[in-house]
Amino acid sequence: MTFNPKQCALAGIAETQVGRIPDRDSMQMYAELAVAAAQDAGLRKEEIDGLITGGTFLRNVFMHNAVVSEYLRMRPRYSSGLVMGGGVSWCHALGEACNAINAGVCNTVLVIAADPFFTVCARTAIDLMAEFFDPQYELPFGFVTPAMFAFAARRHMLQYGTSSEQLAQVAVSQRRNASLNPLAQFRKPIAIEDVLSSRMICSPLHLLDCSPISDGGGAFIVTSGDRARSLRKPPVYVLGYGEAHELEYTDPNRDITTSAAVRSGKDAYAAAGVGPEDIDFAEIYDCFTITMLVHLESLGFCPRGEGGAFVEDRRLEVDGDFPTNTHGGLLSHGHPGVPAGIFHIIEAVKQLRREVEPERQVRNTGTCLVHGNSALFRDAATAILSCHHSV
Amino acid sequence: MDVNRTVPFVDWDSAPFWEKLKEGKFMLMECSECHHVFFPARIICPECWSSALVWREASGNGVIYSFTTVEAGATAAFELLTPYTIALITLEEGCRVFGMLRHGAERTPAIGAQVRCDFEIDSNSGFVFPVFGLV
Ligand SMILES: [Zn+2]
Repeated sequence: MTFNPKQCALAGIAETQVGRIPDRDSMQMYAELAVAAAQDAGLRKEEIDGLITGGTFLRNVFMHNAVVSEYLRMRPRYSSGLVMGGGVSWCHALGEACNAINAGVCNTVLVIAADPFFTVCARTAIDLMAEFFDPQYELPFGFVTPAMFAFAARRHMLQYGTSSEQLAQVAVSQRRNASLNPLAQFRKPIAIEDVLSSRMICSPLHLLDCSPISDGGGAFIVTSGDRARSLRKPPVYVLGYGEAHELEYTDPNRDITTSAAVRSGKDAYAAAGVGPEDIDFAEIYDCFTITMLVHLESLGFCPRGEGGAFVEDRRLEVDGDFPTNTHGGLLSHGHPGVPAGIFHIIEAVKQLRREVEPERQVRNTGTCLVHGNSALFRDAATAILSCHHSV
Repeated sequence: MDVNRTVPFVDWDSAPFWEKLKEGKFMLMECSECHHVFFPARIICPECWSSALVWREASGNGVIYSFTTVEAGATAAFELLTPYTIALITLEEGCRVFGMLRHGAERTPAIGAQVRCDFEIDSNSGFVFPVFGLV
């Protein structure tokens, strides 16, 4: 493959508090995030010649990227309105930005996503998300999002002996990480018992095995490595990127306890010239607790089937052996709909720059893996990031 | 059972499938070139891309690949029906299909358990839906 992401770097980031933001609509958040990300990078509006946006759950905005561009009075060389591709979107957008830069189409890409998902849609969120499902083979049968992940959790339990306590440990560790993050939605520590006694949503998944509904947004700026070195903040290089798309969960050839991440991860590691053993910490899209177990396995951090044992001993906590979702992840930092996976990238940048609160700064920040996934692990995008040009 | 279901959005591929359900038949497709049996219906074989296809009736027998009981967080149309159980079923012919699973309170489903397809009419819409029951 000719993809050479090492020429690109994350140069700026911005994020809102996640939780309830009653005084901002989607477009206002987009605008404020654009300004904040440009300030973080030390860039003027005229120096940003690429724009990627993610739409909003509020209403269907045709040509959303052009609407945002107009609001911000930008005239980019490159612009893309990512359709709502679920959790894979923001790692995918990072890859898209690198591709556009490496192809010489533009030099600096601003990526933004924001949604007041909780304030505006809390009551209707389930039905809104249901609109993405198949209108004849899924919806008329009472299909809901957590059901898909419950299918995977139950298979994982049968195939590998994974327990509800092990799933709960993911939620507990991420809550501990969120408890140290002032921008997270849920910060009160919880115990395994709290997860198991929370109400059952889709068996075997309890309420605390699932992501909440939140308001919030984030932005990041990608530019060439050369330009990034001349900007305000230390560059975070994209050392490797890989993407993969698998078959549907209803395909008889799919084992739903594995992810397309097996392939996206392999390509990302190969591009970066590293392996899972070289990764110091990870930020992995975690819509449900089972999603974490599957991805820790599929990305090679533990053998297949051993995700449950891997997360024990609080390994995923900021001061654990393998800090993961150090901001709290979707499970506790929050899930604002469209922007959900963007915070994993933003958190990776903050940790790599070593600019988070001292009590939650990860010790070893040489190399980080960020991963996005959608549609029950069908779509995957993985990136490997570092402040060092090579590992 | 009178159920307030979401009416399926029938497309050109699936119209015969929904029609045949009214006769108590769960139809799959078979490729005449590579003999792959698949569901849902398509205009080409997803395996070899041939367009030489025939409909084939499923035996109705299968095993549970996975299942869940939806206890909360259902869509508005299904809220009153909770708790209900939905499952991924591996049909005898090799296809994996998604469906409602009926089991009495006295019987607990399990992965690998044998199931059989039955048919239920929704009196509001006139659509017949496949439902699976433990054998
Ligand atoms: Zn064929």
